[in-house]
Amino acid sequence: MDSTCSNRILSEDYADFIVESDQIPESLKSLSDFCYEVVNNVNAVAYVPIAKLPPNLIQQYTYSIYPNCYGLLDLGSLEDSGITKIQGIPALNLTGKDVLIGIIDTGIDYTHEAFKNADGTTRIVSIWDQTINNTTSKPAGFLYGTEYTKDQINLALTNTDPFSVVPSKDTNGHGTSLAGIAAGNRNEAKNFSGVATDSGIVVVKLKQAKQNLRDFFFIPSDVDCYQENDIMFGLKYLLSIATKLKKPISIAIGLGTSQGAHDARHALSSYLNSIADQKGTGVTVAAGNEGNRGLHYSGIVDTTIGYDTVELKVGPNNKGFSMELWGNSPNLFSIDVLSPTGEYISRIPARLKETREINFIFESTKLFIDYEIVESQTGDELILIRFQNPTEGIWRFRVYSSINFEPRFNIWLPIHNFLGTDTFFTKPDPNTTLTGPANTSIPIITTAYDHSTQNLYINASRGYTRANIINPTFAAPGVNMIVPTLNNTYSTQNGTSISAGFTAGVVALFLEWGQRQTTPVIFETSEIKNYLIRGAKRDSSVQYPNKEWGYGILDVFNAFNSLRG
Amino acid sequence: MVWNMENREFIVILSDIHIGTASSTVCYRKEFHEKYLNLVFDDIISSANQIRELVLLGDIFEFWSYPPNEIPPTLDDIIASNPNILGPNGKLSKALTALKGRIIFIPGNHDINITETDLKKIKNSDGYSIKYHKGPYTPTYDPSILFTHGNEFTLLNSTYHKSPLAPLPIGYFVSRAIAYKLQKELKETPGHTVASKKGHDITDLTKYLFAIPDIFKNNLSTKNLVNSLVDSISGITGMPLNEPIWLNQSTSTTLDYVKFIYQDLLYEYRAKLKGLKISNEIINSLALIADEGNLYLPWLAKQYSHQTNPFTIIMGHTHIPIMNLGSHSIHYSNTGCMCPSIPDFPERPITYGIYSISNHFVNIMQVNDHSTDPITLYTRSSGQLPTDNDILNFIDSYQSEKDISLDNTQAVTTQLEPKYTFGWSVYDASWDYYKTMQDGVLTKAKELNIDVLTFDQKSNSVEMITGSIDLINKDINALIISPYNPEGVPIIVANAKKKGIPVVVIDGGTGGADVLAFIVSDSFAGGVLAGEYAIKLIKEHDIKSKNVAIIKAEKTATYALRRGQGFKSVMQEYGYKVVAEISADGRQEPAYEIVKKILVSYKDDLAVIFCENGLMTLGAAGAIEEAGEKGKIMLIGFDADPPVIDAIKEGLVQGTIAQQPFKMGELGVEVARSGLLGLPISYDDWYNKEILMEVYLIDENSKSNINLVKL
Repeated sequence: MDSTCSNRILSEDYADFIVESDQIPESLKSLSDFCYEVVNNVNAVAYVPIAKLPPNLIQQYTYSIYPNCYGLLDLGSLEDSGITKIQGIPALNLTGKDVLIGIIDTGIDYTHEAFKNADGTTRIVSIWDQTINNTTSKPAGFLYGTEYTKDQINLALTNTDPFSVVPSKDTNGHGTSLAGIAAGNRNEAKNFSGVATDSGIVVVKLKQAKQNLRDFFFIPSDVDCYQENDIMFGLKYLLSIATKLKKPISIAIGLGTSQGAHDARHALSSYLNSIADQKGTGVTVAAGNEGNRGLHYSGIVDTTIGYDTVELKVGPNNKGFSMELWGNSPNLFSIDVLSPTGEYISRIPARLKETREINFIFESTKLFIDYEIVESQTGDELILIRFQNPTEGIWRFRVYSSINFEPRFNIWLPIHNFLGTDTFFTKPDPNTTLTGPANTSIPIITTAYDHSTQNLYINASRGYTRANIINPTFAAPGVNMIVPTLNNTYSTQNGTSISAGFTAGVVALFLEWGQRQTTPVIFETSEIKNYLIRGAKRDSSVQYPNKEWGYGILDVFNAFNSLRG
Repeated sequence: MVWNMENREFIVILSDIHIGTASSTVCYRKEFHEKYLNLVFDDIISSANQIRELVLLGDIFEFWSYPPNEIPPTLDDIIASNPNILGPNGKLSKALTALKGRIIFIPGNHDINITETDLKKIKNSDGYSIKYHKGPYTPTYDPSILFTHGNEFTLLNSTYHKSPLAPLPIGYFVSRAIAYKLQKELKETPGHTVASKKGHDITDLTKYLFAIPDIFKNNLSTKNLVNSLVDSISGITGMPLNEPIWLNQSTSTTLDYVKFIYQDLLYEYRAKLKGLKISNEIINSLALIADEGNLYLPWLAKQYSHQTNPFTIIMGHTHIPIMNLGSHSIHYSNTGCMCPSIPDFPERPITYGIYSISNHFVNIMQVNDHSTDPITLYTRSSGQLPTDNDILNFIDSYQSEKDISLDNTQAVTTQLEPKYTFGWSVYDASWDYYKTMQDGVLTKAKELNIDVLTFDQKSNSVEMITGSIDLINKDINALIISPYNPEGVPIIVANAKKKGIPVVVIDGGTGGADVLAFIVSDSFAGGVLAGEYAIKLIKEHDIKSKNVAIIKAEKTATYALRRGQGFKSVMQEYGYKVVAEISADGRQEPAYEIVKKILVSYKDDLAVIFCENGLMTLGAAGAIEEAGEKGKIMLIGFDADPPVIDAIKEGLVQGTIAQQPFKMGELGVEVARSGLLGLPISYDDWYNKEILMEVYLIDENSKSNINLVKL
């Protein structure tokens, strides 16, 4: 598209919307400053001047055009408990050679020894840093950011100040850890080893979400949050590198969101599904760390009572958040609201066609409520409730249904990173807490467990998806894991993105194995997934699949056995 | 290099089967066609190891050919109707296992609504699911093929995005209208279906749209084109422009609305083809040929491909098989299952395509009674793709023959709305409540530039009926009525229907008549609000009793009875016991007597009495005052008639739930207008066409709490 689009991608004066490439609304197109860029054969991203946005966007264009916001799926570092040992990969003589590992995250500390060859050169194939702009080296076919090649990184590594040559930095550590567990070099002294220790590594460092989107969803300004469309372009970049080098690629996604219908219908989910379906690409997605946070409620409207009562405890000093109620069609859901100080709003009828703004008189809270009776992607009903400065205490919602065909509904609060502590449902449901895009059907979805105790990670999100797709696929190591982190050090971390990184490494080994056969086999994700499911370790006293463990515990050796057999 | 190691040589292509439910307007009949389709799948399953992929190239399912009064099926319905093909042990699932998941689905137009998640509904015990691909598909393992259903190249069946029904093509409504006609015809021959008709073809639009060329005779704008097109469809099929077309369980539309939303049809079609670098004149002319004939489809496909290397384009949609049409560099094939009716069999067999990856060659197979063979009956298997000149000549001759042309005007962005006159038949304008409602009607009508003829029923059933029918005979466009006697509404609606006039009922009831909408206060929410307020009163007045009583309306007052239900749910939620729930038939005197008895039984041990209407509230107030319990037992009512407000001021009643007649009147006008324009109407209950209006609390200080109540 036109070069000025580059500026708009980066400008805070422009909002990003995900649209279907062949149905960009005329009223957006007709704006003089409008531009768009195509992601894949379905979606494009439209960049629209915020000042000229038409009113009632949700009613006009549906909620689905808003990019979801994704957060990092890990806790911070823990004290090194010293109980971990190198997670042994059985001697298969596979090291991920001639396979790529793809990471879309906070970037990578390329100076870390975990990513260097024995001769001191880098194992990184390239880095697309979306945050460094105004350089002349955008990746071919992309309109923003800067691409750093292997040669440039090698040059930097010989410099006393490498960042003066390649200024791309991971300031968080999450991406470094994810890449490390998937592909980092073995370090006996530190008791660490990655999985695919000979794979090339391709890295996308995501830019932070724009302020307008943070404002819309009330996401705190101090948390890392990434836009769906930037992740989609990241995927596109990884594929372009894999195609260019003619190498299979194993992609690990360690990001998640609680927005969306918790089925496979968002733009990123659809894209991941189609990518995972291609030969020579493996996609692994972290299940999320939301199982135990109290941020999901599910209910059925009792038809004799006429409603279901939902209580939400809001903690102190909460600046705001958004909450989504998804109701199964053809029921028609509506809500009433009672604030902690006793201000009550009677049931708001389902015919509402505008964003209803409710100003509470005795408190500074504002509530914005949108109904989308037939949501454009799922056909189900969405009620979007956004809180601004919610008063601390119990907020009560009654959920009504005027038609009663098993009137089941789910409500999700944002992931805990976006919400702060002390805000939760008083009667939460730990199931169906997989974060997007872990609700997709084709990629491998990993939950995390402690390989020394065999216990599930306490905060792991639980399945299944709202559409009852059996996710997570299985559990992989993700508790008390030693991983590379910033400044050439190692730390111990927990979380499902660790397990996704680990599994992505295993997927790389499969891709390598396929290529090495006399009649080479190019796997796609679902094939590898099925081998891993077959080989998974299962406790004979437990029924599988289940919502906590999926099909069991990842057992690499057994999976390769089943492959040979 | 390891990237082309597949040795599975063939791609199988299946399209245009149109499997639907057993509805009589669906051509695919399980009892007849299934055995042939089984043979196709048997072939696929037995040769699975030679097949690289099975491409389901659109219109596999039938979601369109259903009469407007039938709610079209969901995929679940279609699966349930065809378990042998689509069920967990059906042939498709078996093929999925045999092919180890190598099946891809590309939507056509008749199944454009299918989504990726829908495909998971084809259950497979081995965990495979059908892959989904939207838009043109080029496999990664063979970049020299392009699969696309073909509907995107046509005017009537390409996706249309400037509408709330996006991406539904206008062709959907053509199919529904044709189904309307077929349903009528089939009524004369019970037991028959469309598949009994020789020569029936669901896409044979030309038969129904023979008048299209006439439509183009004048220099038409795109809006006029659509208007004429829809009028023509309505004329040919006999389907009225205001006939409700059910889209799903909650939404219906009309051909009138179709005119409105597809008004940019031609403009959008041009916009779509613009990328193909074809001149505007040619695009106009292509639009003009519409779905008539299939000559231009391969030509457009050729424009689309931009290919120089050997390239194969495979489509469905036309129901006419074509093999390898074209030169050495580009081939066009159409798998074109003909979806034959029973008498047309076997002259028009079920067909499917087999593409050889190494030879770049398509074979079309036909299904006979016991086997499948290369096709022999349709042998249009070689020749050239049409050239640009061929297309231009064709268009020239077509235009001169029909003497038509199209203008190049741009999109229509504003719709000129006709000037409407509404009839307003009011219960009794001398009552405050109905006077206020009337003010709402008149205010909104003025705002929308609608004229109103008013008739006052003066609380009289006979007046209501004769006066309303008089309005109907005065050329009004819609009737809005607040009925004195709901039992008379069906007679009025029957008269209105004869003239095609939609009726909106406000308050009272519909007597079971089929109306456009019934606007009524949200009684259940009102009862809930009364319950919440009761809890507040109990706290503030420090009442210890845990007992409450509900005085109910007459058994036929469906809506008033919901008030007590809402109140009861809340009270029970807070741990109160409903000790009495007695009907006073909605009247004052019985309410007085009943409350008197209750007070004898419970004396002080009663916290709250809730009455479902205003008159009963006054009756209850009298009894409470007599018993000396005024202000000790809380009384909450419903309705805000002046006597109730006075009773609140006197401390006899502690609060009442008020309705919003003005807003109900306004909404009545809006809804009637939406109905005429065919705009979607959101019902709170689509079955009874109910639209609910919010209610509010008037508290013990006579204060109205419209949006928020402080509890």
